[in-house]
Amino acid sequence: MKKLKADMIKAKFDEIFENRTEQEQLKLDAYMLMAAFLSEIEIILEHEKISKKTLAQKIDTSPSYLTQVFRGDKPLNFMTLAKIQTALNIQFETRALKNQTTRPTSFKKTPFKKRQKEMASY
Amino acid sequence: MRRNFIVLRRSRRYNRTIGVDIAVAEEILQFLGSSRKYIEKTDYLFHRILEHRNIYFDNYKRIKTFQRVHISEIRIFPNGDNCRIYCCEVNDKNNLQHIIMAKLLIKKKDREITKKIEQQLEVLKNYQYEEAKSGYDQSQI
Repeated sequence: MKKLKADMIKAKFDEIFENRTEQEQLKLDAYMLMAAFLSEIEIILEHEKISKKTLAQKIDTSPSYLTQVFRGDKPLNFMTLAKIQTALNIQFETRALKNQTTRPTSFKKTPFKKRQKEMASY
Repeated sequence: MRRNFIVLRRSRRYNRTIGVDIAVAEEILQFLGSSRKYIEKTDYLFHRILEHRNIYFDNYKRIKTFQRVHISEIRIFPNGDNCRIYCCEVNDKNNLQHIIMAKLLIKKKDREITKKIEQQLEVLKNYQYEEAKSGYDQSQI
């Protein structure tokens, strides 16, 4: 078996994960934001012993859609989030913090129609 | 059985890391690197596992508990090709929880854990992990 140094392995993993396009980075950021909400929702579901199927019924959506959202295969939209908030009788608190590291503050403008296409493909 | 792992990512909020067993690193690397969709989803799952209060969710579950080690699985696309990465969860002396990717199962046909997989997981419980620091060379084993 090919012998690899630990540093080399780490570098190779870093390379495949950090080599993101602008769109992939934005998509990841969007899913990470979504994860913050989903994680809190899951804690409440577990605590109150509510299944995702029951939650789907409460918010009048299909269980398969909700499963896909919780698995990170589909984006969570804010209307669904608002419905979940009402169904579970909870309120999300948000707080914005300045990044410690520098990240690009502006991206090249993408035409709206192209953006719509991209969003549809997510 | 002594094994070595490297830390790939560390949580910014919690005492958790995600690492990989050096012996299977290349296999996992090749598998993930074979498609952008695997990279994107794994990237998201790593973030989800590391940066949130509840570590377990649909795509990451603890499946076995042994005395020294817990076995968990990362399911990248449960509805797709159903590939899984089995992990060993170990705590070090500083109470840092390491989630170490230890076995890749590319094609899993059944939803249940078969006897064959059960045997493979039994092997994982005997692994004694040690972190390979920077500059480590596997050829030195």
